Amino acid sequence: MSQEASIRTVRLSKWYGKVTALQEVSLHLGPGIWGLLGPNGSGKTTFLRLVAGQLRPALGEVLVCGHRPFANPEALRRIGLCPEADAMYDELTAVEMVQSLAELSGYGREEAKKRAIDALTSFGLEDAMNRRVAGFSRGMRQRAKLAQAVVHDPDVILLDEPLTGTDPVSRQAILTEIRRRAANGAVVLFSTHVLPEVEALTEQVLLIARGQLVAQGKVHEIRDLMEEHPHHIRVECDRPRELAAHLCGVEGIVGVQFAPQGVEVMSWDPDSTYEAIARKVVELGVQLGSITSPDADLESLFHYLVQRSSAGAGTGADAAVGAAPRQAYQAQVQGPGGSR
Amino acid sequence: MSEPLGPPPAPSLGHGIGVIFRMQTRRLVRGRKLRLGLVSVALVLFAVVAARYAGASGEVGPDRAAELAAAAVRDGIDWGFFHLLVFLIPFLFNAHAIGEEVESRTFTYLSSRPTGRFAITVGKWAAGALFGVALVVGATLVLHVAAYATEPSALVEELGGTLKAAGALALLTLFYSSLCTFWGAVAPEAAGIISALYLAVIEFLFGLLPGYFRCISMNYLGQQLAGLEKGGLMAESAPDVPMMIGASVIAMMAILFLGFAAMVVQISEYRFNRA
Repeated sequence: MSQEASIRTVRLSKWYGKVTALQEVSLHLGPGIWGLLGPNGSGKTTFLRLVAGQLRPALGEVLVCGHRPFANPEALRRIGLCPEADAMYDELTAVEMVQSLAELSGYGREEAKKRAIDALTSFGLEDAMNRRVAGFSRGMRQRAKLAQAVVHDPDVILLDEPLTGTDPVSRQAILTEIRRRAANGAVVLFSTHVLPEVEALTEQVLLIARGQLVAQGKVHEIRDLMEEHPHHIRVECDRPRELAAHLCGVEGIVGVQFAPQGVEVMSWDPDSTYEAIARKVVELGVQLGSITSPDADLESLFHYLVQRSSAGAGTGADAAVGAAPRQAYQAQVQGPGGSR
Repeated sequence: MSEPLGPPPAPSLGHGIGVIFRMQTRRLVRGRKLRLGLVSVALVLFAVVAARYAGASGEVGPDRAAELAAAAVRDGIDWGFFHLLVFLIPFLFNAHAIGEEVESRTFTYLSSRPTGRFAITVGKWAAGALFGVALVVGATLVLHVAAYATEPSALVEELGGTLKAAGALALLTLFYSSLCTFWGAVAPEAAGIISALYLAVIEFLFGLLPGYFRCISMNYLGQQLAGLEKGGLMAESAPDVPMMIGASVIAMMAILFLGFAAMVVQISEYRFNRA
C-alpha cells in the first residue's frame, strides 16, 4: 500500500445549473475509515463522484493521492468506487463482471480471475459467483459491487451507501472487509444517512448538509448533538390511532404524530422506545407493516448546524461541539401541531 | 483474499480496448440485440430468396434461371442490404453502446477504472462493428449461394460481383457503426432517435437526390463501390465516383466519427452531473 494514500479538497464546489450541489468543501483525509454523513440530497454522492473522477469541479480542486482524478489513469488506478445505484451488467456472471473490471485496472486475465474469485469469496459470494447477476438479490448485488471496488487493492475506497439492502450476515462480511482494508493503509470514505452505520465502523465523521461541510469530528460529538434532537421512529400499522394513544404515556417519548399509514414517534431514548413499541404492538394485537427510522432527526441536526455555521461558528471540528438547548427543542416539538 | 500489494500500473490502450471488446461481445451474444439482428437478416433473406424462386416456378432454361438469380442478388443487395440492413444492423449494435451504459448507470464502473475513456469508445465500437460486418457480409454470401443454388457455374462466375458488394457493405457498416456510436456518445438518452433521423435523412433520402447532393450520402458512395445501378430522382445527373475516392471518403468519415465519439466520451460527465 502506498504511503501517500489521501484525499485532499480545496474549496471544492459543484453546481448543476443554478443549483449548488457542493460549496467550498476543504478537507484532508488520510488513511483510515471516514464516515460521510448527511441527509438525502445533501451532496454526499456529488462529493464522492468528484473524488472518484466522475465529475469535474466547478470551482476548487480535488486531489486523490496527489492527482486530479477526472479521466486521469494515474489517480483512477488507486481508486475503488462502489456506486449507490443498483446497476450491474446483468448479462454477465458475478465472476465475469468483477474479472473484467479487474482487467480494466491493469491485471492480466488469469490474475484478474483469481482476484475476482478472492474478492467475491471475501464478501461471501463463493457459491453464487458463477451465476448471472440478473438473478441476484439486492444484498448479493451490493456485495458484488463491493467486490469490484476492492478487487485491485485500491489506496482510496469510496463507498456510496454500502450497507443498503444488506442482511445482517452480509453486513458483517462487509464491515470486516472494510476494516481490514483500512488497517492495511487505505483511505475508506463511505457515505450514509444512518448514524449507527457510521458508529459500527469508525469514530471519524464528516457531516455534510445542503452542499456544505458543516462539521468534522468524532461520532460521539455528533451523538451528543443528536441527543438534543429526539430520534424519530416511524411505525406503519393497521390501527395507528390506538397505538398512538398507548404510546403517549411511555417514558422517553416526547411526541407522537400521525404519518401516512402509521405513526411517527419522537424519543430521547430510542432503544427503550423500540422495546416499548414492540411490547404495545403485541399487547394490542396491532398488525405491523414496518418500523423504520427516517432521518428527520439528522435533518433537524443538520439544519441546526447549517444555521450555526451561517451565523459564524464556522465548519470543522468546532462546529460539532455546540449544543442546542434541549428545552428549547422540546418546547418546539411540543408546541401547536400534533405533538403530545 | 489476496494480500493487498497496491494497485497495478494503469493498463495500456490495447489492453483496455481488448477487455472492453470482450465484455461488449459477451453482452451482445447474451443479449437480445444479436437475436434481433439475426431475425432481421433472416427475414430479408427469406423474402429475396422466396421472390427469386417464385419467379422461376415452372420449367425455365439455365440462362433464364441465371438471369433470375442475378436479378434477385442485384435487387436483394440494392434494396434489402443497401437500403435496409446496412442501416439497421449497425444501429442495433452501436447506437446504444455508450448510451445504455450511461442510462443504466453502469458507465461508472468503466469510467472509474484507469483504462482511458478512448479505450471504452473504441472497444465498444469494435465489438458492434465486428458483429455488424459479420452479419451483413455473411448474409450477402448466403444470399448469393441461395440465389444461385440451382446454377453452380453462375454461382462461381458471379461471385466476384457479390464480393465487391459485400466489401462495400462492410465499409458502410463500419462507417454507420462509428456514426451511431458518435450520436450515442453525444446524446445518450436520445441516441436511437437521433441516429435513426440522421440515417433516414442524410444517408437514405440524400442518396436519392439529384446531382452532387447525392454525394453527401455515404450510402450512395457505397452503392457506387458495389457497382450498383443508380436509382432515385434524376439518376443520370448524379456523378460517378471513382472506387478509390469513394472507399477513402467512407473510411475517413468512419475514422472521423469514431474520433469525435471518443472525444465526447473523454470530456463528458454524462448524467453523473444530475444530483
